[in-house]
Amino acid sequence: MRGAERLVRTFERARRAVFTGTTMTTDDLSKPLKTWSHLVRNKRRPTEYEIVSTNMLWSTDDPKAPWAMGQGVPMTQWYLKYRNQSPLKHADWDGFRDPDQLVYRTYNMIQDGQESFVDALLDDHSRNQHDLGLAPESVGLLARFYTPARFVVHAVQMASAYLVTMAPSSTIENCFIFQSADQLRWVSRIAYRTAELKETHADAGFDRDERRRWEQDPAWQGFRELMERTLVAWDWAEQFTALNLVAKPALDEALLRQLAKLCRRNGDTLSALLLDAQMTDSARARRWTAALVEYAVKNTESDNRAVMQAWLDKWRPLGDRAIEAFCGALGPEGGALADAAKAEAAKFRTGLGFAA
Amino acid sequence: MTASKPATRSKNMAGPLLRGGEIAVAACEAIQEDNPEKQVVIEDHRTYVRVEAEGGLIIRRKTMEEILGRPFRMQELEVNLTGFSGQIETDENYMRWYLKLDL
Amino acid sequence: MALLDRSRWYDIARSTNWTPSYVAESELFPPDQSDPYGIPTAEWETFDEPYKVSYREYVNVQREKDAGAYSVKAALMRSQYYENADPAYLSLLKMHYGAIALSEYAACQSDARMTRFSKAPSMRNMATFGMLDELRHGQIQLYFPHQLVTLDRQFDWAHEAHHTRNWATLAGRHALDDVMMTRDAMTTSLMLNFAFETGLTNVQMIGLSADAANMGDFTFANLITSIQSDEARHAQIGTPVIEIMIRNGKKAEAQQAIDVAFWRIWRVFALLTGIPMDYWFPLEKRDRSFKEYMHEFVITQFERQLLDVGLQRPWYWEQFLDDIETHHHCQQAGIWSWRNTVWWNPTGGLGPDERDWLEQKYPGWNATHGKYWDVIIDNLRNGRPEKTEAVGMPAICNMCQIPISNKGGTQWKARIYQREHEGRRYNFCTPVCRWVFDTEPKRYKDWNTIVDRLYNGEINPPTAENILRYMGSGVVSEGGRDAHGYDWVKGYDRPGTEAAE
Repeated sequence: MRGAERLVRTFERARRAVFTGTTMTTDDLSKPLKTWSHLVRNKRRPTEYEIVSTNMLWSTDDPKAPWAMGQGVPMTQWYLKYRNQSPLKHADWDGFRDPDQLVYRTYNMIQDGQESFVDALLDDHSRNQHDLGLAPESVGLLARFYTPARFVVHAVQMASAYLVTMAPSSTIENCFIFQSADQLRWVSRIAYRTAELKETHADAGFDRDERRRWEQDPAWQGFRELMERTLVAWDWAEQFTALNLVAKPALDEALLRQLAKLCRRNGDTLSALLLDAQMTDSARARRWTAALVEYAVKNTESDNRAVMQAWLDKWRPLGDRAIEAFCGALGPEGGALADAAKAEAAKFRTGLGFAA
Repeated sequence: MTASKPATRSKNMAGPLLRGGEIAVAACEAIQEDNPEKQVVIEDHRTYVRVEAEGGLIIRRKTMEEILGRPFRMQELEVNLTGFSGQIETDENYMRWYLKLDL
Repeated sequence: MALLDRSRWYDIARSTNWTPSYVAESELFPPDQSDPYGIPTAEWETFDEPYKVSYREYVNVQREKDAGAYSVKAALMRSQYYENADPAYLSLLKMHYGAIALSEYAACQSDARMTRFSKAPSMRNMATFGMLDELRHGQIQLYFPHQLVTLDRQFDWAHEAHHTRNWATLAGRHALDDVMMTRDAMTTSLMLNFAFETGLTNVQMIGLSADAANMGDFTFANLITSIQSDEARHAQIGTPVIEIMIRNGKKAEAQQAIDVAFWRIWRVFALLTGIPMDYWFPLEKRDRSFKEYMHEFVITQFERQLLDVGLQRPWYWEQFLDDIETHHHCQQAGIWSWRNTVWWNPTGGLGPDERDWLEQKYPGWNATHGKYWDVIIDNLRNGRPEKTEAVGMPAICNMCQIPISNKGGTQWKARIYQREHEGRRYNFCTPVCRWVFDTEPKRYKDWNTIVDRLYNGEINPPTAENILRYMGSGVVSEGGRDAHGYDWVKGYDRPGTEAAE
């Protein structure tokens, strides 16, 4: 155990001691602090991120009673079962840190900038009558593979929100908050494009066929099955595994990367650039996902790698099938696109030490 | 900013509570202009201004643009809109506070 | 052509319901998490939020709000304002941040529950912004008090309060866990968005700002009204929920949820807001009394909104009006007497002029609450401060977790309202707290108040020192003492200002 982690645990014990009323050695209380007492032992100035992001859940203080309500209340049982008794165990989830150290204030600054960029893209392309110049096959591609994506992206928004409610620490919860919000960003932008495309291509089914495609088009059924099942994988760590290690990487590779590649080849620069911009948010999610996996499998007595690998073995086939259905329908070279997407999604997992 | 206060407050007052600032001053002016038929009651409580009228008020984007002399998005008002009485309706071109029931 | 207006695409972004087929809809939206009222999905799909915002607008406007709040703070920090501030005013900040910062953060999960489990797609989007808003409120209200720990260790409670078993924390947690942490998405919206955020937060976040500005604390005044501009928006999630429930024959259920939550939050907020407004601010800085703010924001504004959305006043409205005259006065006396249990330094703050002000704002104050203070003032003036510190534990309400109390003096009418349930006797401060228990005994019956814990051996040994430790007093920081070292009794040394009798 490294020094800093040992200190974190010492503090955890101390904090629990306050909580349970047992005796602990107290500091001289007349002396002011330099930072929150729970960060004092870090031996360095805390960052803004640490000051406003750490140890903020009270429902994890008493492992047997998340809420100040009776044990018979369904929500209490839900938290005990799906969070506190998760097979993925760690003595100190509060020790996790987001590698980007994102806080609310900086999130808005970054995303306001990103949204200005997207506004400029949309404005420019609209002025250049980009949509009028789209080839029929490009329009067909967007109607079938792009505008229906608001449903799958919204499903990711919902799943991420579930993980906000169930995260075992505030530093983990915050990552899911931003992830959920990022999805709303793209639900909105896809809706925007749906409306815009409808203006120039009234007969292509924009703002009419998306739900039907999501519910019935074979290209989407793999992703729909994957997301519906992910949304009801109630154990927080299993849903995190299914969502952030299987479903999101599958979407990244199939929708954001392979579709973007096709759009670019067809001269649809706007769609390609929008998909790239969406990938920027996904890349951030991948950074903390990797950090959380690394944190979960280290410094714990539980064999968390095996727990997550078992979940991956269960979920990966669903992810691969989703990619195959989606990419396979993209055209004659769909098979190759699917293989590339599956390989890239697997690479994210093998990079974290898992067997694909 | 004018301040007036009726002797007894009607049960049907609705309108915004604005925090201080350039936008709030402009909004008070815009509201007077956009609701010519109403007696607008403005109460200044230092950190917020309660702006109300019988049955509610409307504020229009174009009026704000005229007063500020620049483009204005209705959403910008949110920075200063710390609360409101009555119910609210939002649109890109106006914001409205109203009551359904007449009591 | 340039950018499209929001209205051109907004409906598409909130049309995201689909019919699941790989899992059942009831599995995707379990009633305990989603909608226990059984309202058809098509009805929820009519949800139309009155206060609309897009993601693009949100990140832009919120960035601007934060820029404003942080720059005001930076300016004030250079002035050494807090180093020279009135200690009772600092107590207000300690209480506020300790009670509020982590509570607002907890509400991220309440909003996230709506984002995941609401059957109304529009509501899921609005709740996503609500979730972000609450993250803002949690983070900014940790960031602002953080530097004050270098001034005074009691500010550490801004972060620690909710991790302790302080009685005040338990009262807050019990109410919040009840109304926003353990309810399905729809009931959470009724209780949190409508009863709590539309109903009661205005008094703390707008009303208090006027007093704070009078104190010269523009950082805090600006911060809380900025926070409230977020609340004003996302609180509106509750209105369409009520409309849809009424339309679908669930008016009684909606009304009960509002009635339960409003009372629960009121009992806590009266302490948080009422006591500082009426006792801690220097007389010349007080804008209006707590009661006057309650009239402006709740009795006039909220009651009108409640009627307008088709509901009624809570059945206990008369009792509530009476509680506005009583509850926080009793608790000011109680908290001051048990001051070593709390993480702030309350001031008695009751010189002759302050008593006149209270008598004017709350006619009859001297003959009731004043009697209690007469004894205290007499003890302080005669060199017996130790006699002003309460010993032992008061009876605590099994619902609001607040000491059971009522007006003192000749009109003393404190009584305990009891309920026997499954062989256990529960004590309540009012018929309303008892009614809340009766609505759902299973939810409330297992919880032990801090006094229950003395009797059941959880606080063992039940010595005064150990009770304080259990509550975190003397552990996280020193416990409270009179903020002004009893200086406020010196006013009675002036000729002709003898305390009554």
